[in-house]
Order: sequence, then structure tokens, then C-alpha cells
Amino acid sequence: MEKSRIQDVVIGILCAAVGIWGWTMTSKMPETTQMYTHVALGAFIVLAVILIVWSVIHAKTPSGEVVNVKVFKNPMLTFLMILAYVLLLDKIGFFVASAIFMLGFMFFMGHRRWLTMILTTVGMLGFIYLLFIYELHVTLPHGILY
Amino acid sequence: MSAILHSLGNLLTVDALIGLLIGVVGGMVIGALPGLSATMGIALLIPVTYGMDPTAAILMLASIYTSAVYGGSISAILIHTPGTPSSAATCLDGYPMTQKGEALHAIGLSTTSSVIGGLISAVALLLIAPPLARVSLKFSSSEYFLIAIFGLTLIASLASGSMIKGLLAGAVGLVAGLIGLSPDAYARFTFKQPALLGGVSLIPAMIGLFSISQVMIQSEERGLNTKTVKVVAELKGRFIPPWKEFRGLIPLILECSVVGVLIGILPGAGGDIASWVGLNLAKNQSKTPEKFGTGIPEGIAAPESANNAVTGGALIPLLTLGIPGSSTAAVLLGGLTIHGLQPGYQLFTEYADITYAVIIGFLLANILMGLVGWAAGKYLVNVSKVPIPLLLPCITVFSILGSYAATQSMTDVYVAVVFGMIGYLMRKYGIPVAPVVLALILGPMADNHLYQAIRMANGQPMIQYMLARPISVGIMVLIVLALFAPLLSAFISRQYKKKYGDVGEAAEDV
Repeated sequence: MEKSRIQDVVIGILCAAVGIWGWTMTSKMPETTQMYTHVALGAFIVLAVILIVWSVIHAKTPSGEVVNVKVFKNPMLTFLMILAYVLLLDKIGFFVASAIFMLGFMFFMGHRRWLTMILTTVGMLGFIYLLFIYELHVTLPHGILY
Repeated sequence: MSAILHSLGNLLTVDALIGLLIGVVGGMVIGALPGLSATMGIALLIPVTYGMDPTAAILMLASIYTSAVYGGSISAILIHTPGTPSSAATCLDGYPMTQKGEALHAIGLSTTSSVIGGLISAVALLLIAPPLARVSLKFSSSEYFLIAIFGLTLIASLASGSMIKGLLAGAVGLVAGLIGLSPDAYARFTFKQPALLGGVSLIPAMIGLFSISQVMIQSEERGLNTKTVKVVAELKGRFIPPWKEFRGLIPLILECSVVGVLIGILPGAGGDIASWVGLNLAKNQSKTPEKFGTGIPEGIAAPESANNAVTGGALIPLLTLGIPGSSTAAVLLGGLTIHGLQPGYQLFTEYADITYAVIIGFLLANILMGLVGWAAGKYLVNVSKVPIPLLLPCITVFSILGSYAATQSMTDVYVAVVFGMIGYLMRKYGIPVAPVVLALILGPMADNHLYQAIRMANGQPMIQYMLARPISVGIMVLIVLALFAPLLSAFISRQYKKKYGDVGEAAEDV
């Protein structure tokens, strides 16, 4: 079986499992809520099963790109950085957290010119201050630092 | 007519005119940046519109749409990299013109054709949308439920790769749309979390799916993208096309514009298909078809007029029936609802001053786009030189800020982050994300109207109730036809790709 087809089968199994798990939680729902919920979950499960069956039938022809898990390293690190940034927002405030994140992420991405890094950060956060706080009066998360 | 005149007061305000200018310039920058699409640009900028007047806000978003489609042609012409998928066809003749030292001439042709295409589509929007909206007056819950189902059938056509994966993506959106209070106030899949009672917020979900996932995808090239793109040729030539040359192009531009409007109205077919159809039309009518691909004006005028004509066309079903025929239109629909505007007849009666101001403003946006393109087009390609490591943190911060700004709730920020991860994994495994957005919008609509229609049927079987209503039957026929549309669309797309091959790299049409 082609690797891309194996990927599709795994996706189908995961989706079907989530759908079935959701279906089991509908038993306590009122009948009127159940009807549409069953339609949506049913469509999800049926399509997941179709994907599995289709992939098995066409096992010998590739369905697309095979994802090399090594490629996930940088995106997952990026995701962790974004997650840390979001968790910091409430703690140290939007502007300080954003400045730390921007400088850290630029460095992580391989940029080493500190002047452009600082100018970009100051410019971006200055623009946000002027637009969202000064003009649109949006309250951004405050923390212990700002 | 009086509604149009009345709307001018709404349009000629400082807010609306600034929105127009920001939309046009911002759209061009977004379009010229390979990796950013009009859809992503609008999703990112919706939060900026929260505090704005609805006219200025919608006008800004619509201007971004048309301007980004044009902006994509600049990088297509100058660096052989279409900024948006709609500009891929322009590469074929645009880049050879640049290599011949006629870059400015090529940008001039693209600007003029895009402006004409956009203007014709704006006029079509003004003339077709109001009478079509009257049809929606006759709709009740049964019809709205079927309209939502009709919209959901478009998912198959939004799926750029595998149709099954596209439909599965739609089902992901339907399931995500189940979270929250059901129409009869049952807390569905909320896991006793009060923050989930309101359901999945649309804007943070869109920001996660389009923007954060894009940041994650581009981070794969960590350390590789610090070099900037070089423009290969000097920007020489005449910007405004000579009258003798332009006169010969007028019939082709007009024809491609009309084709573009029609393709825009058709759900599921967007600017990318229109530009290829336009190019093919030009080639079929040419006495020297062998010259296409060597850098001739027709090869730019045809696709550029057709793809910009799609924008106004796509707004027709969106404003009148609430059917987003493309991912960009789906995001625009999100922008409308954020400002309390529901597509349909009300938009042309109760909110006529806003709607007509937006339509007239859209017309002006196309003219302004030409003027800005004329003044700054050749410099715009410089945005392609912005190093990715500087761009990605800015996009991320803006995404997080945008998710927070709507409700000023951290829950929405977490929604954006979670959908960012979901979007990234989906895109890596070849599952399109646009259907998720469409289903997130239409799923709850179908749920609510089905609930109301069941009550209106008063114990009668639903199908019997619907078959007794002629408009419902008409929409059912449309649903069946829409199910066959993707097969036709895929066939056309395959034919053009076979004929011309794939061109350059563009932002994924998410």
C-alpha cells in the first residue's frame, strides 16, 4: 500500500473514532437537538469510512504528498512558542509578551540583524498601540509589567 | 435611485474614504506578497474593523478583495511568482515581457485590464443584486435550511484536491459548529465549560485556520528564507498602454470581464479558473496563438480582466442569498455578520444606505486601485523582499490580537491557536481548510432553520412539507445541480493545466 494511502487510512480512522465518540454522547440530548447532531456526526463518520474504503481500493496509486514527520519539528517548535506567548499574555501583558515573542521568533527563524529586529518590533507594536488602543479603544490584556 | 443617492452621504465620510484607501493599498501589498492570499488578508484585517462604522468596514474588506487579486499580478509579472492563485495565468506572458525589458508596460496592461474588469463587475453587482435580493423575501425557514444545504454542497467545489477530503473537511466544520447551545437551548458538547456555550467563534477559528497555520507552514523553511528576492530586470517601459495597442485589446477585455462576472456568480469557481478561461478565450480568438507565452499584451489583458471581474460577481450571491461561493467570500460573510448585516432583502431595504455605499465604494475602489497601481505599482514588488523571519512574527501577533479584540476574551485566543494547529495538520495532509469555514457558517444556520421548519411543518413529514413549497423544490433542484458542478469544474481545470502546465508558486487558495 502506498504511504500516502496509509496516511489517509489513519486520518479516516481518527475521524471515524471522533465521530463515534461524539455519537455516544448524544443519547441524553433532547430529540430536537439529536436530529441535526446525528446528521452532522453521521456525515462525518460516513465520509471518514468512505475515505478509508477509497484508500484501500486505490491502495497502489499515491493520493498525494507523503508527509515526512521530520518536517514537523520547526512548526511544532513554532506552535510551542505561540502557546507560550499566549499563556504569557495574561501574566505579563500584551506589549511585553509580544515584544519578547517577536524578538525570540525572529531569532528562531534565523534572523540575526538586531537593528531590523528591534525596529520591526517597535514599529509593529507602535502601530498596534496607535490603532487599537488610541483609535479603536480596545482593551488589551494587562499583566504585571504593563 | 434615491437609495443610491442617499447612500452617497454614507460613502463620502472620512471613515469610509480612509477604509477605502487602506483596503486598496493593503490589498495590493497582501496580493503582491507570495504566501499571503486575499482570504488570509481579509481574515486578518476583520478585527481592525470592529470599532469601525459598518460602511467603512465592509468597504475596506471588499477593497482588499479586488485589490489583492490585482496585487498578485505584480509579483507574477516581475518575479514570476504569482502572489495569489488568480495571477498564475498572468505569469505566462507577464514574466517574458519583464525579461524583454517591458516590465512597466506589462504592469500597466495588468493595471488597466484589472480596473476595467473590476469596474464591469461592480456595475453588474449594482444592477443584478437588488432584483435578486427580492427573491429572498419569499423565503421561510424551510428555504433558508435548503439554502444552507445548497451552500454546503459547494464544499465539494471548494475542495482543490481530493473531493472526499474536501467533504470530510466540511464535516469537520459541521461537527465544530455543533459545539454550544442548540436551538432548543441544550448545552451540546460544551463539557461544562461556560466559555463554550456560545459555540466556536468564527473569526478566531478563521484566523487560526488561515493565518496561524500559514505561519507554521512557513516556519518549515527556518533558516532558509533570510535572503530576499531580486527583481531580475530593470523596470523600464511605458506604464500607460499606447492607444493603438489598447484599442485592439478592448473587445477582448470586455469579453473576458463578462466571462469573469459570470464565473464569479457561479458558486465554487473563482479567480483562478476565470483567469485560465480568459487566457484560453484570448488564445482561441488570436490569429497568432503560437505567440502566447512569449510576452504579448493579450496574455496579460485577458486573465487580469477576467480575474478581477470575478470579485464583483462573487459578491452577488453573497449579498443577496448569503451564499459564499469561494473561501474569500466566506470570510467576507463573516465580516458582514460581525457588523450585524445579514445577507438578503434587508440589505437592500433596511440597510440600503450601507449596502449601496459599499457597492458604489467598490466601484471607486477599482478606480483608486488603478491610480495607486499607476503611482506605486512598480515599487510594490519591494514588499516581496521583506524577509520571512520578520514577517511571520508580525502575522502571529496580529492574529492573536485579532482573535482577542472581538470579545476581549482569552477563550477566543485559545480557539485561534487550536484551529491553527488543526489547520496546519489538515493542510499538511492535503485536506483543504476553506470548507471548514463554510461549514462553520452554514452548519449552525441549517441547524436553526431546520428546528424552526420542523415546528412550522406542525407534525407533517419534513420532506412532504418542503415538496409542497415551490421555492423549496427549486432550491432542491439547484442542490442536485451543484453536486455535479465540481465534476465540471475539475474537468475544465484539468484541461487548462494539461494545456499550459503549472506555473510558479502561489499562496494556497485557502
